[in-house]
Amino acid sequence: METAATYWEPVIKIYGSHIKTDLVMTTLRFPLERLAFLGEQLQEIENGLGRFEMAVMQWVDDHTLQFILLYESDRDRSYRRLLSDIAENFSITLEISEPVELLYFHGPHFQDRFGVASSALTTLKKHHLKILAAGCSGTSIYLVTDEQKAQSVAEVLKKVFTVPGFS
Amino acid sequence: MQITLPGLSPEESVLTDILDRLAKKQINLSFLCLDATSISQVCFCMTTTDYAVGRELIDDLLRPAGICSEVVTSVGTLALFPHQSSLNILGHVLEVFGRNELPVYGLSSSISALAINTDYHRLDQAAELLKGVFLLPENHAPFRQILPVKSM
Repeated sequence: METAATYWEPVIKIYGSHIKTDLVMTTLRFPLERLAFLGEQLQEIENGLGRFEMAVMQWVDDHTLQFILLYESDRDRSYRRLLSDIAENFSITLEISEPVELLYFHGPHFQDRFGVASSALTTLKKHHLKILAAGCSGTSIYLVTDEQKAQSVAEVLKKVFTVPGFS
Repeated sequence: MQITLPGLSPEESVLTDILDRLAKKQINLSFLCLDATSISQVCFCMTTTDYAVGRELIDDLLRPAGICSEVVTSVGTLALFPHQSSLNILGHVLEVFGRNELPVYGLSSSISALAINTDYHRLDQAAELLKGVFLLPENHAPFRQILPVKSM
């Protein structure tokens, strides 16, 4: 049986946070009917051994999806070639941002509790820190930043998120 | 329900105002995606009951910014795990959704799961189709949650 826990705390407890640097963010905008094709192509990357750090997709309109994929820059050459070929041949718009950084953290029952995403995004706004993309699902929050910004974001978020210490 | 705010940049106060007001109403967002790359767009999910409470405040805050929310009323989230950070697994999921014309209203990866928003009434179909691609253990969790016990 699932248990949904709903509570509020002034400083939100998390299990820990992680920063990954030197990442490539590829943004693909494509017609809905290309979704299966894109899926097939992703399976081909590094002969089925390709890895990602973050994936986010949004419905733009009745005909279009936008897909953001983050991966390590040392994998960039093979990924970029394949994704560029897809874009060139199949009416897909491709944009690449690099290097970018990723900050992610997890906490108990984030999916059930009000105010968690609000605490993160409101705090960043208050400190004029920009994010390029975010994905909050399950118990995780993923934030993509420009180069050399993830640490600043992490420092600011320590005001509202904390890893409880052992006493 | 999935609510999309097209053209809304995360730097704009209206987004944090909306999130802050929803939090004050104790409204949970089970899913949130934000994209500030070539398009600026935010989407999030809440229960139908919560939307009845939050709809007016969202629309009130959006109106001065000239933004209209787009709402998909019957959305369910399918979570598939572990994704193993594998593009092969992600690719298979997208292929299944694309080939079967299952809508992807939103998708976000977390540490172990892929959360995919699709039509609520097609969740069972999506789960069955994914069973054709992925091997599930015999004792896997039920596809649909049993009514949760809420701990306050």
